[in-house]
Amino acid sequence: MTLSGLALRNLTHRPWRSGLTLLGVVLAIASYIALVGLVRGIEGTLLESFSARGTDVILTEAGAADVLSSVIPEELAGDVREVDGIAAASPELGRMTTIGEATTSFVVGWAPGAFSFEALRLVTGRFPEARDRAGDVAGGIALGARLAERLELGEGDRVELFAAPFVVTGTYDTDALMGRNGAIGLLSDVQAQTYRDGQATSVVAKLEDDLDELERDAVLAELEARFPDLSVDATEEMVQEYVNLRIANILAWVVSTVAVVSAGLAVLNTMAMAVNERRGEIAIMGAVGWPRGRVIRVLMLEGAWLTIAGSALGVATGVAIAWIVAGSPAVEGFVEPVIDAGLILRALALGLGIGLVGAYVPAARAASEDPAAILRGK
Amino acid sequence: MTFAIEARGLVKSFPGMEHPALDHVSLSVPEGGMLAITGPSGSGKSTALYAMAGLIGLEAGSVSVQGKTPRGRADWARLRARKIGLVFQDDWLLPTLSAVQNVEMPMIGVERSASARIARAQAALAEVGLSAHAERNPAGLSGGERQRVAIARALANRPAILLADEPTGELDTANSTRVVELLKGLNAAGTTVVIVTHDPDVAAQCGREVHIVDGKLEEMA
Repeated sequence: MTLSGLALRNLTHRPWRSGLTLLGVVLAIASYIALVGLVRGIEGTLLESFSARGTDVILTEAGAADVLSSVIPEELAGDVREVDGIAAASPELGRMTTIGEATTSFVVGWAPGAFSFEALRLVTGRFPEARDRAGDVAGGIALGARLAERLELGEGDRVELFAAPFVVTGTYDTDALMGRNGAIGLLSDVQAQTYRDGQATSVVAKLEDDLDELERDAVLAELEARFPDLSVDATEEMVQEYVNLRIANILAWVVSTVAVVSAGLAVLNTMAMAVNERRGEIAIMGAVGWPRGRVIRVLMLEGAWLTIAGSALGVATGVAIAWIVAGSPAVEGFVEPVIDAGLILRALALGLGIGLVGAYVPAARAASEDPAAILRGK
Repeated sequence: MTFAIEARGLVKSFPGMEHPALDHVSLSVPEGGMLAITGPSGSGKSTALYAMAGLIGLEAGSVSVQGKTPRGRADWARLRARKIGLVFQDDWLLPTLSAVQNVEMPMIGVERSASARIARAQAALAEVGLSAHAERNPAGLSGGERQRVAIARALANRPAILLADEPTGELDTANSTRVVELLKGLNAAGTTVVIVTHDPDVAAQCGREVHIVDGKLEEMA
């Protein structure tokens, strides 16, 4: 018999109570894993959507809450191109909108010949051209491969976009999840359908390849000086400062913290009840010569067993929940959970931590009690 | 002369009691002795036994075990693990463990080898005549059997001193006789035995008897 074996027996002796506490830990750790994994996924998806097409710098309206709320004149792209160190710059107008039957997607309008087209791989057909706007057709649209698959649409099909008929000119693939689930039209067509003639949400720019870090910083500084009314951000910076993402991050941490603290209290409550019921057993451990530290250790091992098992199950549940949520129709295409070894280790450490703290308080109190008062008679 | 246990001027009070539970009690038990402590309920006899085991804090006085005076809880814990076995009126067996595991429990931290612990626990159970019930849980044992497992647990670390608080208090006559015979046998083999009892028949079988009334000790003839 070992101390951990004894702790395990004590837990299995009270299966209902142990099971319910375990469930509390599972839910707390699962919430933590799922929420943090999803928020990280959103962050990753956003970053990927820009970096996959070679965007290094984004210029948006100063003070806009996020890139989609920004409104700037499209001709600014020409001015940006003139700055030393800029290899290419083009305006883009991005909208979150419904395509087909209630599928929310990111639709972006690009100017013909924009550098962003270079990162896309055509699967079928071609990219939209000005000639696609003819008759009752408001313009052409190229669909990301995954979106085309979900909508079961292909080259030549018609689709409702911004309450107007568009023709699918082709499908493309890209390394970015958001891109695969998005659609691309001509800037002028998207402007016309969204009442934003001459406007863009951002100007995206690509730096020259041979710049070192100092030179990159100098280009950013020059852009800031030349365009004081715009917000100039490196792609990573922009993603990190994305307001919705920051709100999601804060919510994820708040919900996770509440869940984890609740689990800690559940363990504390379970251990306090278990210790209270077993004061005689704890007293006999002291009476047979177990030092106080060993008595505390065996009780803490109970908390540790509960939370190790709960955390392991919680991680598995959290991963499953995150992928189920990411695959649900409402968010499919916007997020791919990012759950790496670091996050899993943090969740396991967090679980173990709450178990040990939750077990220590009642254990230390019980081990300090005078055994004689308890052992004198039941 | 070295005493197995020597108590000097023990004083202990409990809130709400008219008189101290122990009022300057001094008592010594020689190595290999067998002593009965008797007295009416609430007289302080169990308190004296717990004081000798270091299980309660004292307001005054000291206890020496085999000539050494333990200092603090850790010292007392070490002594109870190695030199003092304790038996209580209730068996206080851990319900989740089998009889042999209950007996093994005090050896954790004293004997490192698990196989040696199990062998010694089996031997202790054999000594109290319960080899056949080694794998049973306490719920599957009679009251007398559980008390014998508790005695085996007290013997697990081969203590020089056995302190028993009303060990027959919950037993019928047949089981009570068996337990007393067991304790007498241990004493005959060299273990110092101190029994708290209110049963005159049990006290009569010990070599010496002291009586406690209102916390004061009287030596019986």
